[in-house]
Amino acid sequence: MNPLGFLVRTLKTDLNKWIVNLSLLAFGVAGVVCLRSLESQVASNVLSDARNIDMVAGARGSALQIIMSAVFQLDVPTGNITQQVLSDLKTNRGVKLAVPVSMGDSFSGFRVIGTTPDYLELFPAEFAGKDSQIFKSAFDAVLGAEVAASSKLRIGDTFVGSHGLGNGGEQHAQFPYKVVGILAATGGVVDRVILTPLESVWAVHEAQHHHAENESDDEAGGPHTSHHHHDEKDHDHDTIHANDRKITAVLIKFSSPLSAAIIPRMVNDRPDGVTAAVPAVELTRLTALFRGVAGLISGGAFLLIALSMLGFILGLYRALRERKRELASMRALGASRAALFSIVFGEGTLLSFSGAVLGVFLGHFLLWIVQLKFSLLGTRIDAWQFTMDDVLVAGAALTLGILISSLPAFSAGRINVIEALNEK
Amino acid sequence: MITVENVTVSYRTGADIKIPDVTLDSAESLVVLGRSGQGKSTLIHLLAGLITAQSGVVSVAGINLADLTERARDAFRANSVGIVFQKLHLFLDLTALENITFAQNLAGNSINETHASELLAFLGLQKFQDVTVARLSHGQAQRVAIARAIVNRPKIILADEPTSSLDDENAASALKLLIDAAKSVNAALLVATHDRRIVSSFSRVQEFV
Repeated sequence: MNPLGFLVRTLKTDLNKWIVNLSLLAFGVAGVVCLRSLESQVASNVLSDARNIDMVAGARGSALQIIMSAVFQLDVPTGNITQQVLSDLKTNRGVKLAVPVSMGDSFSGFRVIGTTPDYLELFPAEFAGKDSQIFKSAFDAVLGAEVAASSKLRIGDTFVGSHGLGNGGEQHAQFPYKVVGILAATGGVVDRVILTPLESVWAVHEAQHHHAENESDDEAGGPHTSHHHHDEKDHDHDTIHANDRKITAVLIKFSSPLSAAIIPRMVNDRPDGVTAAVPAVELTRLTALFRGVAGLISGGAFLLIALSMLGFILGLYRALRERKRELASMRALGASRAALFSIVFGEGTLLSFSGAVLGVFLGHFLLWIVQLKFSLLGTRIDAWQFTMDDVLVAGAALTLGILISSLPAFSAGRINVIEALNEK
Repeated sequence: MITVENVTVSYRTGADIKIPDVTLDSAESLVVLGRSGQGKSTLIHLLAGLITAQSGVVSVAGINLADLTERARDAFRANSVGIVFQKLHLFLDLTALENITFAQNLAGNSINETHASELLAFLGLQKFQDVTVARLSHGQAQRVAIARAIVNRPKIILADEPTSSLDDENAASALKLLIDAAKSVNAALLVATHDRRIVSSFSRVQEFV
C-alpha cells in the first residue's frame, strides 16, 4: 500500500459523499463544453454555407427571412420576384455571378430547387461517382448527399415531388424527376437539397395553376363553358408565362468589394418590390443573438462550476476533519508534512480531474441529444468532435480545483499530531 | 540506548511539565507507571520525536533528538521507533496486510509483502491478513498494531496504555505478544501505563510521581 493507493481507497469509500460535488462540476463543465462546441460548429457551418454569397435579392420582406429561405433552405420565402431582376443583376458590372433559385416543391421533406448549374459555384460540392453529372434538361435532378442517403435513390431512378416545402403536399405524379447526379457530402446546406433546372419548377407550377383555374371554371360554368373562352384564356396564360415567369430569389456574388456599397441600395430602390439581403450583416446579427443566449446559459454553467468548487472546498475540509486522526497516524508512522499535503491535494486534484473529464464527455453527449432533437440552422453537428476548447474548459476547471485543493492540503500538512491522536 | 535527562516540556496552555529522568538499555524492557498527568504519554511523544523538549536531553541510540531537523525526526521516527497507541490508530479501510505495508512505504522502505505476511503469521493473524481492519476484533486489531510497530525493525518500541481496556487474560496475552515482538527485532521496549497487573513481565519498573 502506498499513499496513492490509500487515496484511491478512501475516495472509493467516500464516493457517496463526493457524488453531488462531482455531478455539479461535471454538469457545469458539460454545459460550457456543449455550448462552446455548438456555437463554434453552428457559426463555422453557417459562415461556410454563406461564404460565397455577398447578397440575396428576394421579394420585399425580412432580409433575414430571405437569407434563411434562399441560402439555408429553412424559412419560407417572402414571395417571388420577376426574371427582370435577374437580368438586371446579371448585366450589372459589379456582379460576378447571379444565380436564380426557385422553390415551391419538396420530396420527402427535402426542398426541390430550380436553379442553374452555377448554383454549385456558390455551394461547392463534388459529384459522388463517375456517373453523376449536372442537370441538363427539365426534370433532371441532382441530389444532395443527405437526400440520396435518406431516399436510397440512385442515378437513373425517378421520383415525384409534392407541392409545398414540407411533407404532406399534393403529389405532382405527372411530372417525375430523373436522378442524373448525386453530390458528395459537404456538411452544408447543399447536402439537403435537390437541384433541377428552373424550367422543371415552372412547368410543375404552371400546370398546377392551369389545373386550379380549370377546376374553378368547372365549378362556375362546368361543361357549358365555351371552348372559345378557354382558348382565349390559354392564350393569355401563354403570353404571361413567356414574359413573366417568376423566381424566388437571386443569389449574388460581387465582382469587387465596392459593389457591396452600391448594389444593395440600388436593389432596394427598385420600384418592383425587391429587398437586398446581405448575409454578412444578417448573420452577424444572428450569431450575436445566438452568442447572447449561449452566453446566458454559459453563465449558468459557470455558476455550477463555481458552486461545485465551493462544494469541493467544503468537502475537502469535511474529509480532513473526518480523517484527521488517520493523517496524524501517518505522521506518527514517519510521514512528512509534505506527504500529508500531497494526499489531500491529490484527493482534490483527482476529484477535479474526474469531474472535468466526465464533464467533457457529458457535454458531448448533451450535444448529441441537441443535434438529434433540433435542426440548428440546418447545419450538421458532429457531437463527438473533441476540440482544443474542451481541453481548455477542462483545464480551467482542473486548475480551479487544484488551487482550491491546496487550501485544505496546507491545513493537512500543519496538523497537530498529538491533539489529533487524542481527539475523541 | 535511551537517555532522558532534566527534561521540561511546555504545553500551549502555558503549563510546564518536568519529566523524570529515564534510561533504558537496548533489548531491555521498562514499564513506566503513574497516574494521569504525570508525563507518561509526554515521555512517549518525546521519545518518538513528535514533540521537542523545552530543556534537557532526549537521546536515542546516541542521537540527541533536539539536534535533528523536523524531516530528520520524521525519518528517525519511521525507522527507529515503533509505536503502539492505546486507540491503535490503524487505517480502518485497509486490510491487516495493507496496514503493515503502508507503514513500510511511509517509512520510505520498499514494500515487502512476504515480510509483512510473516509478521502477521507470527502474531497469529495469517487467516486475517486480507480482512479490513474495521472487521477485526479489538484483540486482532491490536496484534495488527503490534505487527505494524515492528515491521521496520525499530530500535525502540513505545506502547501507551496497551492493556488498560483489556481483561486479565487478554491483557496478559497482548503483553506477551508485545514483549515477544520486541525480542524478535531486538528492540528495547518502553510501556507507559497505569495498569499494575503487567508489572511483573518487565525487566525494570519506574514510577512517575
